[in-house]
Amino acid sequence: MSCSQTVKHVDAPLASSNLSTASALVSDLEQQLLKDPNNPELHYKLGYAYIAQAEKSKSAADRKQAIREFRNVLKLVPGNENTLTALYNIYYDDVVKGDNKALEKAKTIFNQLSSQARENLNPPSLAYFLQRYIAQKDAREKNPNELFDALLSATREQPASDKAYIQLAKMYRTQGYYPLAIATLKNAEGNQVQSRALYQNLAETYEERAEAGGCTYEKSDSLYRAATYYQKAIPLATDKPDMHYQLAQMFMDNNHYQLALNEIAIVLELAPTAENYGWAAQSYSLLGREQKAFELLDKAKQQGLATSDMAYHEIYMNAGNWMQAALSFTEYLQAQPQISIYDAIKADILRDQTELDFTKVTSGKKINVRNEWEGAVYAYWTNKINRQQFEKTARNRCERTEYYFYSGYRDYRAGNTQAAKQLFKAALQQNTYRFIERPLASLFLERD
Amino acid sequence: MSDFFVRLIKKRSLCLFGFLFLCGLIISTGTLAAEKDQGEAARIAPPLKTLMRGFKPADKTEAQVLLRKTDVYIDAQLMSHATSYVAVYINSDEAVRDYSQISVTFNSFYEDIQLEFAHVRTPDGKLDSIKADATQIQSPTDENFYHDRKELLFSLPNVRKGSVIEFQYRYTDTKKMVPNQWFDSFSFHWWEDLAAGQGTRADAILTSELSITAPTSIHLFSSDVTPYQITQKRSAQGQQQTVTWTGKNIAKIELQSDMPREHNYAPYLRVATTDKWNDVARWADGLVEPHLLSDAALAQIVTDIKQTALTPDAKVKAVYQTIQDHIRYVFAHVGRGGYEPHDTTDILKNGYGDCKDQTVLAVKLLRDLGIKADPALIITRGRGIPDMTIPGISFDHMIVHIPAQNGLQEIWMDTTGETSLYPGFSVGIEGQPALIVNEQSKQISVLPSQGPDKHFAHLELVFDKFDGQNAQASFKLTFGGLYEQRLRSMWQYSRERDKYFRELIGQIYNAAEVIELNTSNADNLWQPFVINGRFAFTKVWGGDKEPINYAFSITQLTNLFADLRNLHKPDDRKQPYVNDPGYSLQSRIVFNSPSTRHQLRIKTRGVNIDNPYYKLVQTGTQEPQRYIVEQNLTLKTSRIELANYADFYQKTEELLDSTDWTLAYEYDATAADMAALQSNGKNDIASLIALSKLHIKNGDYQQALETAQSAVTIAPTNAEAHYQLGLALGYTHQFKESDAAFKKAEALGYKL
Repeated sequence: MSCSQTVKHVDAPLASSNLSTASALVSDLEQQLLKDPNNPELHYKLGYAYIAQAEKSKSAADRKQAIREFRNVLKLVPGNENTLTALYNIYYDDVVKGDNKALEKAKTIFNQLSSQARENLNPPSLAYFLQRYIAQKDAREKNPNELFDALLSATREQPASDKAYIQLAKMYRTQGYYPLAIATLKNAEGNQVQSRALYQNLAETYEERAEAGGCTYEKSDSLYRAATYYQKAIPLATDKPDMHYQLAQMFMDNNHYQLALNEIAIVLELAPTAENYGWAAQSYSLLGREQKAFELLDKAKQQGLATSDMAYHEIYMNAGNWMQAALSFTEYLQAQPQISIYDAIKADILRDQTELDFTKVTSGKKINVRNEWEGAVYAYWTNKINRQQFEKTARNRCERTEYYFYSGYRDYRAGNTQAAKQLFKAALQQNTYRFIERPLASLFLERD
Repeated sequence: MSDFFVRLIKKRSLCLFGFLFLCGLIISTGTLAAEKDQGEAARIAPPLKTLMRGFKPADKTEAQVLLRKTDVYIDAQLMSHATSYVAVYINSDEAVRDYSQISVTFNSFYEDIQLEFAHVRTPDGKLDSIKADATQIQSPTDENFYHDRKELLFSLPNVRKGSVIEFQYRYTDTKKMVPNQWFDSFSFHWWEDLAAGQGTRADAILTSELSITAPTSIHLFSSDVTPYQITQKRSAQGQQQTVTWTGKNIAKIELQSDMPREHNYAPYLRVATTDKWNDVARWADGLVEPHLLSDAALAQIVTDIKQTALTPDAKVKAVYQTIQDHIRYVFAHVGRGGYEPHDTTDILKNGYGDCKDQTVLAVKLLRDLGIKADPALIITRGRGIPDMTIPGISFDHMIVHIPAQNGLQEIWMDTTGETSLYPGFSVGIEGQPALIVNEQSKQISVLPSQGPDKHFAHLELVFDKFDGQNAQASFKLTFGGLYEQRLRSMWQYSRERDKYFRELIGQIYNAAEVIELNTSNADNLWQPFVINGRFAFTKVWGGDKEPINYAFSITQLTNLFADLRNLHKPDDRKQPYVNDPGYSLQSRIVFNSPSTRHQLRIKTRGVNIDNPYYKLVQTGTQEPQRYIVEQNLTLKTSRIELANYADFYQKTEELLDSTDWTLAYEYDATAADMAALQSNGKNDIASLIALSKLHIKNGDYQQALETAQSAVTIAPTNAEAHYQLGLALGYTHQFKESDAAFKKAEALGYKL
């Protein structure tokens, strides 16, 4: 049976204070208590005054006094939620600081709180998680299972809150356990947790899972679900441009270009920055909407987008404006400390189309090969491996998009137009919607 | 507990008057108006001016005794003539209040006392003397007490901060209490009553001196004062010897609650002309034996008892019952000195008597029934435990001692309690010194002490009725030892006792109302006192499908039956702390489920504690539709020295802050579903998957895993079963297997 008496609400008297005023308040309240020792409000205020004093003095004794005063309130007004909350916050901090004895006390208090009050607090095991996380970091130890268990406990203590679920899922994600991360977040969803952060994390996890396979387009289900969860997250925080940005990308990847363009418009409305205009221009360019792409690129330029930005030369290349592309590409290259294999290939293509030589700009710059596939691409482009060897290396649609395009371009340059067109068509059929090779393949396909 | 002791002490302390402190003071009306220049008695102390020379009051002191001096002269007839002088520097408003009026009690049957002078030296150096109209001699008017005790009150004029008061008095023995012997005791402090009856104070003292002069033919035995740094000197002149004890710069005594009962917290001296307790025992026996008389009425009682009580044990009980039935407690000893009982025949005829009277009547009946029995003189707990190495007459109570004999164990029987359970042995005398009164008695006995298991309060509480948003619980309180005596006595003597007890018991649950209260055995001296009744809790839960929250803490018992919240803080504690006797507080709380659809959720469990001061054992047992919490807190018999007091204080705080039992019966569709699913058997795939989900929800990951594995075994192509398995494997840290299970689930069509 709950032995709570009528709960009396009393406000915390101190939001901020310096040490001297805190000390003065402590002694004033203690004097008042001498005359009225059973006044719960005075004990409550004194508890907070001690906390304020402890924050300044860093004194454990002051914290202890605060606990004592709050406990005095509970003796006089058992079950007072404000006091229980104040006490809980002290114990929570103590757990984070490494006091494991405080964990049981925190749990005890937490359990005495109403579910409404608990919703506004972090569960006690989350404090323990933080403590262990910090300790492991300091000791350079790795015991993720200990952290997982703490977070699982936290989900049980506060099943209607998203915090512990999200943290747990993030940790699973970091370890590469994407299905488990998704299932964990869905458990929260099953427990009626509805929050922007939960949906956003679900979307991000799906997106990351798709990316983890090496080619997101091979995980179209995940991309679709990522889009779905971004859509669920957006109504809970309509003014966040980053989620509209992510959703636009997901729509692009799912070939829902009209929807993507709508999201792009919202991003520009919410955050009309140079980078966003540049990104929007590239998106339009990928879809073959050149005029709009140039308009947006102009706005990006007006907003201060650096002329060395990749957006300029890629948009010009997609439009077949080779000379402009070459000029922008030169600026781009000059700004790069090192170049990618794709930059090297672009340099060759632009040289073919403009007869401009980029050797002076690229000489002395290291070519950065990030993975095996890029190594294969560059090896084929520089005749280190033959086409059959290159083909065998392409294992997914993303890689095959590049294989078809670059081998097609080699045929195109050699004058084997029909063979090249077959390969460009094959590149387009991979449906890898955000690859720059698609608009280029389309461009060369249209040529005789 | 404190009010219980007060009640007990008040009653017992008036039973005998044998204590002879030298603080007694009487003033005859003829000397009240004594002026310092009209034949004032000779001072035994130097002039006040001399005493004050070089005196500087100590910082923060409220009062300091400049000199306490007593000269005792014992004549050849062993009658004493003593003169005492006291001078006190007053240095605070509190001391002004306390020392403005001086109160002294004395036994006018044995003593005659005269005030020789009393002056106040005001801060401006003027000397003022006591006024005739500021004194009064009065007899205390306690109900049922008729005796020779008197009290003198007098007020000193113009006592202010900075004043010095001095007074000198002389007392003379008028009758011998113990023929051919002389006994006395002396405190080196001056014990002054606090205003409004709030206790006594003993301030720091610069010099305290006692001189006893007696004929050299008398041998004086004295207790050891070396632990107190009191010096002793002996001298002889002609046929007279003088022994002088002197103490310098004796510290103030701060009396505190729960101090040790031994008197050694303050310098204390006992002096006597004998070192043999047998001398006292034979004197007391000589007072008792002539009064053990019989007549027809008494003989008839013996005959009646013999007819119904066939065993020694039954006979003792019958005597106890007889005293309770026939003799009301009345102290009627005006003009008798306080130590000599009435004739047993008169006691029976009158139908009343004090402890001595009841005891001698019981002894007479027992002896006539063939049972060996003697009176025993007792020093009750209220008097503490004096140094008993030197005999003295400081007893304040008498009970019956029945030695072990054929068919009987040793029994200490106290018939005076009126409401005490047989044999009336109370905590007020437990562990105290006793002198068995007969010609052979040679030493002091110590009354037995009972263990903490004998002094207990036990609460049985059952939450048994749920109606709408309200609930009720029945309770039953049973007691042993000091709690039995205290609660029984409170019930018998409280005004508006029903209301009082409802409020008292209500403290167990502040939020509840005691709607029913009954007692059993309140007047039964053979069965323990029992209180039972019902608590009503209003609007304590939502009712029906809502959870009901229960909480119980051991502090709900300690708040009512112990006084642990008002301990001195370690910095304020000046005396060792004693918990004696130890006691135990026990509870058995039955938390019933409000319906079969409610499921138990234990939120927190009470912890067990075992340290030098406390032992708390708590258990929780789940039974169908109810949860039972049992607690047993033993507050061990202990003496805590100052060096350990901070540890004791901290352990007490930890006890009071220890975890409560909190649990809830929640209307839990999940649990209800789980019960249903478990009953569906092991081959229902949907049930197994649902069950695994519920286990995960409840944090039972191993069970979730086992259930999911069963599901996969019986339905290997069920995608959701593999998904559930993936989840359970992940939550039990089997990540590779978890990934594989999720892949299998997706391969079988599960949309992750």
